[in-house]
Amino acid sequence: MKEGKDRELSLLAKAAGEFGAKVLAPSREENDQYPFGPLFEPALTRAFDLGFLHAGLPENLEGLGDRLAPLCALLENVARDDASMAAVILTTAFAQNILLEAGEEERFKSFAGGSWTWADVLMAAPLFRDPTETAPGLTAEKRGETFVLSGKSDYVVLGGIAKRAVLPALDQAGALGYYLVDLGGWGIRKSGPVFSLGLHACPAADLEFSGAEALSVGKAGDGGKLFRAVSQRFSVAAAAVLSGIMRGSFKEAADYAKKRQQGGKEIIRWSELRMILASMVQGVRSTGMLVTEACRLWDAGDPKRRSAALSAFLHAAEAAISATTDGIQALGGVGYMKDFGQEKRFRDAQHLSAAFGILPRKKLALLKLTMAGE
Amino acid sequence: MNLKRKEAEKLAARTPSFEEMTASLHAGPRLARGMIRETRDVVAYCRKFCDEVVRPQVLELDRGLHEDPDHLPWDFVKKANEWGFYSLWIPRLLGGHGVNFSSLSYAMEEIGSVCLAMANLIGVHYLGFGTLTSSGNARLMRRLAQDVVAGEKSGEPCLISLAITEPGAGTDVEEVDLVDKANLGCQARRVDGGYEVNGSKVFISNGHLSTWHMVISYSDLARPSETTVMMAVKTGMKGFSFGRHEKKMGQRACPASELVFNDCFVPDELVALDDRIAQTFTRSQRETGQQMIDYVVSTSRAAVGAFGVGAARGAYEAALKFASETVVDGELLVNHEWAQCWLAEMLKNVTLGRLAYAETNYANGLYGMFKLLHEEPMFSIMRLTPRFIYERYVAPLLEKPGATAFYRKRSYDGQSSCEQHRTSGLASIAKFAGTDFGIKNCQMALAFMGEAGLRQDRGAEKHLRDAKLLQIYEGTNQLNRLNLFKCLIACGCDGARVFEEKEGGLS
Repeated sequence: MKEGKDRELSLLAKAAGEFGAKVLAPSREENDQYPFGPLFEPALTRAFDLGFLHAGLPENLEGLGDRLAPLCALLENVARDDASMAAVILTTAFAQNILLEAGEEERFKSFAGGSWTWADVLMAAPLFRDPTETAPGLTAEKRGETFVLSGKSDYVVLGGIAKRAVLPALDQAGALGYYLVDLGGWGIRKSGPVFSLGLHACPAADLEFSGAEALSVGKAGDGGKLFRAVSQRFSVAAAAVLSGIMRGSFKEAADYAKKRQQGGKEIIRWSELRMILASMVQGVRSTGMLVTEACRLWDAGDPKRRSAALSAFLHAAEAAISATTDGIQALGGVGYMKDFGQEKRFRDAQHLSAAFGILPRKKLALLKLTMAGE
Repeated sequence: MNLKRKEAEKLAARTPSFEEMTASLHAGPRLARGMIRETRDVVAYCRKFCDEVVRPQVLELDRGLHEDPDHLPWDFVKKANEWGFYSLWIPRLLGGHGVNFSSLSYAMEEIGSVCLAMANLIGVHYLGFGTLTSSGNARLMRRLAQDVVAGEKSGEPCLISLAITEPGAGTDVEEVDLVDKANLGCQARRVDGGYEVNGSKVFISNGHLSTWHMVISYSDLARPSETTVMMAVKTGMKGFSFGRHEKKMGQRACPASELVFNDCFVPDELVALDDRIAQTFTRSQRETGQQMIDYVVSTSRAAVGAFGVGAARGAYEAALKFASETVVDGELLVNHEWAQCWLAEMLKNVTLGRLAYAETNYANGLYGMFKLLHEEPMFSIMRLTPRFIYERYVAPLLEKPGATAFYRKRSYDGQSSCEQHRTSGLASIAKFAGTDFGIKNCQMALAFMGEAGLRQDRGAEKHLRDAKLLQIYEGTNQLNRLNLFKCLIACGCDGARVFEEKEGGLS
């Protein structure tokens, strides 16, 4: 995305880029080995110190505030080197925003303590899974002032490492709502990290509940509304992550093409290779522009912000899948190996796109918004 | 149709030539009657193998190889050996089961639709054996085939790999027009009684698991296109060792190895082809080198196309299963009209990819490597002759220089340039179409399945990780497009040149 003359945004983008290049890039391969290697705790500690894990919160809670553009600038620049960290920030911010959207800002104050660490800030969620698309496997039963959860919630991102989760469940009347759960509490069984296609250092877990205590978030029956409001806004954030992945892929491909020789000259001097790079640039530039525009519309409260957000995401998903496929191709055999960053970007781009739910259905949702004049 | 014969021939010869358009039509009447049933039995056998061996361990093995990247899948290789997969496509003349070569592609699709890595653990062995076959060296073919068959009997698998890629040269070594400009480092220097090899080969599929390695090297690195040496190197030979085992995104069960040569002496008896032998052919050494490459890649690229179709099919089957089990917006996903069209598009990709590799194999039977053994009466003779007749009377003949000379004459001098180009061009189409369809379907499956497709325990994501390699090896898909241009387009386009691009304009 384009930071323009916004000095604050430029500084944030620069800080995020430096964090990616200095903290994430040197250990990318090692960090990606999770769950068969250690979790990148030093990087999480550094991200926490820099305030990146609070990014989704209002300014009075040390976050980046209500504007979408700063969050997107942060995510895009972190994702250039390692999208797993960007996904950790994105997931936490998404869960935080479910609470904020429901008017539960006061809850955050009760979480904060003197020895506040990265583990205290992280918040788990089934990310973009639309609970109105496929019904959640959890039910919530009222017990006095609180609720108890029963059933299963599969693929809860950060579910194995965060202390809290925000989860959708159906109450006894069948109404969809969100619930805040202390994952260290009684009645919760966590699977090991779910081994998945990409974003290995942002792991998911399957959670099984048998009478675990939970707090209702917002009003009963507001789950669908909450999800739509937050997921639409965060689809721009997801597009920013995809944009960052693409930028990283293009840079590595272009750098390699200047060095690797074939047929007696650097491969960048062959026009078919340049055509591959050109297609990647096209994806990078168009996605960056869409993310910038979607942020602008969202931050201005424009009535067409929802369709702009979904358009940006759908375009970013297609462009990132294509660009990262090309990104491996430009490197040939070594692009397929873990010594380089391209294969991870290929997996991460596909992973984030699919984690958003059934993609073709999102297109139908875009049409519905457009037909409704949004 | 009021056409005179000469006029019809002239019109049919226009680009695209009638032969190029109709390999299956030409091949149909010549197909041996037993070939259809034999191919059906191969498909059935592979399905049984998938049910009993591949499917039960595919996800566990993949996960295990992430936990321990250096693990070698000997258990699977021994099982495949036990089922006879390493000699199934070796001709009976050489001691194998002698199943028709075309059926190998169908087999690779079947096994690849469940696990591409396991399909490769079998298929790559035939890339090694096919390369040796392209040399026409009957004596050496018999020797290695005997080792494979003996390994099957003893339970100690004997696999053959192909070592051609070098750290500084991948695409370049697949084209004679590029190899003279390649950054080569592995040299086979002529010494008394053989060659001494120094350097390394990389990304060698099945390297660590193979007993024999068909190594392509060059005696003069300044003139590689005229000094190609193909030789068989056995694991354990002095001066030969394994280097690193690559850390791949997918196909984890199929190791990509580095082979290291340090003053490795290869005696003449293990040399399959070199410039001294190539001088005896009608064509120039350079043309023979390209013909040898085309012989191999015309079969191997059809097989890689079949791998791609396997991936496309595996992804399609995963998406169909998901659609049949998942309720979206109160209705099974499979009953949404858009989803039906999505699945139809995926099946189209599978079917078109299959047609492309099948057509290429028809061309291989008409003009290429399969020709000698696929035509009647040879096909039936090979199957009806008792094995002891081969062993007692035919096999000793293969040791004679005349057998090698006959095979080479028939294979090399008996193939016209048009036939060579037609087969190679079709093979490139099969390769890049099949593998592009593979990637396309894997990406469509994940878009269709959402988060369910991302979990390794659901299988869909593995197809994508595995399939990406197919667009790279056996010549990148870009190289295959250029080969198609060279073989089937440039000949009808005056002034067209390939691999000689001038820089300028937007460069």
